[in-house]
Amino acid sequence: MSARDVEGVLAALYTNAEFRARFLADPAEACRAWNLSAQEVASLASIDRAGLELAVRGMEAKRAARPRGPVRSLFALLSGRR
Amino acid sequence: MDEGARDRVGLGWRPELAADIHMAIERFDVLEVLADNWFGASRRELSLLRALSRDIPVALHGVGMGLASAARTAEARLDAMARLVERVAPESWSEHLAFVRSGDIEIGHLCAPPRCPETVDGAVRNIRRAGAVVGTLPVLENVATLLDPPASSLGEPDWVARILKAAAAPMLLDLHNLYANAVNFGHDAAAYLEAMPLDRVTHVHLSGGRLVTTGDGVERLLDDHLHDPPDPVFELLERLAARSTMSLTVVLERDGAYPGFDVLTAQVQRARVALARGRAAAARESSVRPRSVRCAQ
Repeated sequence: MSARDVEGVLAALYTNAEFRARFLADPAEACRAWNLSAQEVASLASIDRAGLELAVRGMEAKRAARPRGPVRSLFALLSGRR
Repeated sequence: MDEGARDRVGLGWRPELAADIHMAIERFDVLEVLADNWFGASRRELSLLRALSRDIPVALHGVGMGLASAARTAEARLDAMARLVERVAPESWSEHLAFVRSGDIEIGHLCAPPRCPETVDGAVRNIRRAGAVVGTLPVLENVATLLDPPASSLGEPDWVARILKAAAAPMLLDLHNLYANAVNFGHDAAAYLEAMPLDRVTHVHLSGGRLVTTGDGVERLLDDHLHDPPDPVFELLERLAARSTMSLTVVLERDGAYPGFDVLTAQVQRARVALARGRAAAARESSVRPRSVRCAQ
């Protein structure tokens, strides 16, 4: 068992559209790059595709959002500067 | 509940809310600050955050460590938290039972790892090391997931309990995360709550979300922190207060789509009421039991 490699596959699924397409087409083939047990490959092959679709959608929306900077707001607030 | 113990309720500090929080700070018992936003702050800016922590208890909440992983958390991330804790002197710091990266891939989101003995061991190692570097153990939060992690041999409550017991760490129970996972994966939310290691819960998060739908019409509840906490979350809080013997610090989280500040303070007040009702129920039950014993004799 290699949980670290399962995490690697999940990270690639969440962030790499090309890998995700290859995985959904042929999960076992796509997982060859990792050191996974047969049980892990089988579990990944039966991944919850609806959950994956929704998770990726949410993550992509979040990445597209601009990061906020709270520090200046607090400084400006407490020092009276705008 | 331990005699003298006291529940507290506060709010997640956000820049959009800063002015209102400043003007109504007496309404809150604690403020929670997102730690990762402050790692690159100047000394002057950190001194202002420290000044805030002298006016009201401040809890730091990290999101970028990825402690619940078979992989080792990078030392630089632990050092960054240690420096911030040293400068700000918060009353506590917390992080998530999640992984956020693998190798060179930064996911940029809290993700549920496979729930198995290997990630239990990895999480415990990372948590112990984090506690050693920062000086105190983190309070650890359960995460919501839209995807039941593959290659899992343990259920979520069992996995969480094993990690916290082995690391001797306290828990931040996010009730909307718990509710979302229960809804999404077919569990009864109240039973799911009871299965969590409630004796380790010292902190609580309340937040909200919305239903999201796939192209095929499959619905899941997304914990987006952009909506009001739903009624079931306050019901779970009352249930937790009835069961817990620990003092609870409850923080309302909102990351955007802000309603009027009076709406947020009303939600804080609703949390206070839920806590009080739960504690009162527990007190009634404990006062009834001795009489039952006497009658039986």
